[in-house]
Formats: sequence, structure tokens, C-alpha cells
Amino acid sequence: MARTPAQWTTQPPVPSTHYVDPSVYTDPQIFAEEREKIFAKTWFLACHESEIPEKFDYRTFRHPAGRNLMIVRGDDMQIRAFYNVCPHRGNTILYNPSGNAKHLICIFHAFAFDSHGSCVDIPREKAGYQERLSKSDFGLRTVRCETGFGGFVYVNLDEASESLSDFIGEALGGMLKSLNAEPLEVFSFHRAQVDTNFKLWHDTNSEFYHDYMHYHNRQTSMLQPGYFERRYTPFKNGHAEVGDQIVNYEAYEGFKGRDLSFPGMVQNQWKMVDLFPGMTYNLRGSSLRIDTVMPVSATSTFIEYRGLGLKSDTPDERAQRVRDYNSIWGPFGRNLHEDLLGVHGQGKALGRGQTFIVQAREEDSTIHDEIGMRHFYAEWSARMGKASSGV
Amino acid sequence: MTVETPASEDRAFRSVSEFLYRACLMLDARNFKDWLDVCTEEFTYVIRAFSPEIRRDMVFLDLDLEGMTTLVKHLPRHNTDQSTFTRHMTVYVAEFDAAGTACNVVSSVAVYRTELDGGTTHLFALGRYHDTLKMTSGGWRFAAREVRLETRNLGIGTHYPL
Repeated sequence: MARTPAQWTTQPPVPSTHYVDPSVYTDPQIFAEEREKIFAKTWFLACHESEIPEKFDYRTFRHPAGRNLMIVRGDDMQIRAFYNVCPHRGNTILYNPSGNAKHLICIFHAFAFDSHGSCVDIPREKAGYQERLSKSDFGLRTVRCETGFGGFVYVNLDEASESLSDFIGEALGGMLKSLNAEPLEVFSFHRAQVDTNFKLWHDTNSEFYHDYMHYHNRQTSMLQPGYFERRYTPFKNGHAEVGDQIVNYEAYEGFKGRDLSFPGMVQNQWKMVDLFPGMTYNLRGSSLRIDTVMPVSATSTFIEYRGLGLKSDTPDERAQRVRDYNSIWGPFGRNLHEDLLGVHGQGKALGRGQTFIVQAREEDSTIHDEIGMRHFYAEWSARMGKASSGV
Repeated sequence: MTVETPASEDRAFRSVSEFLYRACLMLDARNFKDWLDVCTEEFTYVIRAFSPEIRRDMVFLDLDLEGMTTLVKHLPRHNTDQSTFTRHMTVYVAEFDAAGTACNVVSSVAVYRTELDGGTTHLFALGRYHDTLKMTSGGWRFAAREVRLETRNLGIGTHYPL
């Protein structure tokens, strides 16, 4: 029976931990709070070390808290992060997303900085500043930066926060052997802009009930042994692991089993870990996909996708990993478009006067249980100081 | 600048251009069966893009004729955005072999996406087609198509070939 307007906006008859107020996905004020209370306080994946392999390599990063950063590999091969802002008149220093520069020079007035963030040249310094200001007053703003968990460069805007390893805890424990056995390398990067809230993307990565949307996943996973035994394991700080499965790729006509794998993985094995507040490690045997959200407003989000293989790959191995990755996860892949279409649809539908978002499936923490999302929103509520249910 | 070209070269260029434009209309109409019929057995289809972010050439799709045929066959089984794609294509250069039975063609292409609900059109992707064509008894045929995209933010993406 269809519901009346009053019934439509009535709280569902389940605990308040099992639904989310729709305004959480659309309210600009909530988004502004998320930037400061969540994104500015947690570790976030900026790039991979293979994107800046040589000394003086750099990579820019639009931090989801709204700061523009640059990741720089120094002359000592250490990776550091700074605000991508000239301390003189606030211009952007690095305009290109990546490159190599011994000195980082602001185009505006040619202030120059070294790879450690020190200002090393100010044109006509003494003539303008005499003894009042000097290069030491114009160093770049440093940002905490650690590399790990597969060679990924994480940054944190909060000087007082816990370490990266404390933040991630044991969440990636089931994948570490594969991530750390040998160096990885990014072979694919693309960014998708979607008119939706960033959490809706992370929600999709945090539940598998939506496999009904994916013809490929229904054939290769849901109809295969072991699918309904996959279990969610929640970890501290809002992270969650999805138990592994052996995927039968050949059940999708035209696809072949993955000949290649990662160290510590058996052939065609699939593991996945979601990290709060918007990162996902998705390891399907031959390739690793990393998702990171980059929200720009409550209803607009960039999502960055990275595909990785082993740095030691032969050209043939790399080509095979790239094919495997793109067959489902590239912008023309069979799965990614469906997932993006789903969250695009949610972005169109959600808004004022909408019904609560229900996350009430309980199936002993197995694959169609919605515990992954509930675990995320428990952390979200704690950090925001308000219940995601609105109650 | 005036470039003098033999009439036979003009005819060949027009012949190749007409073939490519007709193939474009097939893709716009999502008439993939006819489009695959003008591909040779050794046909390969690749979508590439260079990423300034990771400073690498990337391959987004890489299929042979059998793979393309299977991709097309599965399209109705997937949940797919049904907005239409319309291509605006211009043939830039065509280089023929000595016998005039094979050529490499570079064309620019802009792909527009039009939403079914309301008909809003926006640019989906810009790029170039790098086509390898062979003359057969049935006329020109695709031996290879490489789509080199400038656009890498493809929004929600697509299941369809470009």
C-alpha cells in the first residue's frame, strides 16, 4: 500500500541506528561541519608513492576539507606535504597536477621554495623588506604526511591527531601481505564528478545488497559458492572489511579467470576494505582499485579512482592487469557505470521532504547485512556530535 | 595556402570520409550490428587517454572483434544510462598506402550526451579517432579504431563504445 505524506516522513519502526535522516545527504550546513569535524581531523589518502618516484617530483591534491595541498618528494627522497599556497599573496604555487621541480616557484612574484618547504628566494628581498621580513618568514605551511599500507601517501590537517597506523588500526590487516610484499604502481587514474553526496558513494562501497544492480556481479559472484558466507568485520574509527570470495569470472560470457594475482592472494580472490570517511581498498586478484571521495559541496562530489599493479610487472603482465581492471572498473567498465548511475539517481531523488534512508538489514553480518553502513554512521555521529538519524 | 592534390586523392579522401561519417551515424543510432559488420576479423578497439596526473598513457577499453561483439550482446542485460550520444566528427587527415587499399585516418570527435528526460545536452567527451581502414570487396572496413580521449572526467561513464 502506498504511504501518505505523513507516513512517508515518519521514522521507520526500527532502532534509530538503522536509518539516516535524508538531510544528512543534502544540507550545506552539515557538509560544512563534516569538512571541519571529520575531513580536517582524519587521515586521508592523497596519492601513491609511484606517482612521485623521483626526487623533486610533486603531485597536487585537493583535500576534501577544502585545502589545496602539494605532495613533494624531497632531495632526500622523503615525501612531504604542504599547502599549495604562496605565503606572500596567497596564489596557487603549483598549477599542474604533477611534475618535477627543484624549486617550487610562484608565478606571481617569483618567490621560490625548496623541496623541504623553505623559502629560498625573494626577488629584491632587501629592497622591499629591509630587515623587517626575510625568507624565514615565508616558509610553506607543512601538513602531516605518512606513507604506508601499500605505499599510499596519507595526509592529515590535524597536528594533534593520532598516527596513521593508529587511525587505520587492524582494518587492512587481511590485505597487508598483498599490499606490502613488493612495491605497487599506479597504472590508471580517473576522476568522476557526480551530483550526489560523498557518503552515498561510500555507502555503496559499504553494502553488497546492491549486487542486484550488477549483471556481472550476479553472474560471477552472487550465483557462486561462498557469496552469502562473506562477512563484514567492523573496526575502530568507522572502518570495515568485507570477507573474501573466489570469483568465477568465466560465468560472465566473454570474460576469463584472472591468470594474475597479487602476493598472498589465491587466483580470483576478492578482498575489500572501506576506510572512514571515504576511501576504499578493493583488491580483485590481478588489480587493486582505490577509491577516494573529494566532495565539493553537499550535493556534488568528485571520486578519484586509481588502478594499481605490481611495479615488477612485465609489459604483458601489466597489460593483462589493465584489461582486467578496466573490464569492470574503468569509466567504460561493466560495474563502475552502474554504481555511479545508482548514486547519481540518489542525488537526483534526495532532498527536503524525503523519506529516511533505511539501513536495517540484519543477516548475521553476512554480505547483504547493512552493518557496514551502520558502522560508518556510528562513527559519523560520534565525530559530528549528532545522530545521523536526526533523532 | 592552396594545396594542389590529384583528383584521385580527393576522391579517395571523400570515399574514406563518407565511410567514416556513415559509421558515425550507425554509432549514434546504436546500430552496433551494422557497425560491427563494417569491421574486419582482425579488428581491435581501444580507448586511450593520457593522464597528466600520473603522467602515463592509460587504456580504458581494449577489445578485439569478438570482445566487442560480446560487449554489445550484453548491453541489454546491464543497468545503463539511456541518454543518447551524438558525435560531431571531422576527418582531418587520411594517409593511404601505395596501392590505395589501406589508410590511416585521424579525425576529431566530440561526443554529446542528451538526457531522455527534458533533452538537456552536454559535452560528454572530446578526443580523436585514429582509424586504420582496409579496402575490401565490400568497400572500406575498420581494421582498428583507437579513440584518444582528451576528456578524462567522464561523469558516470557509460557502457557504450564511443
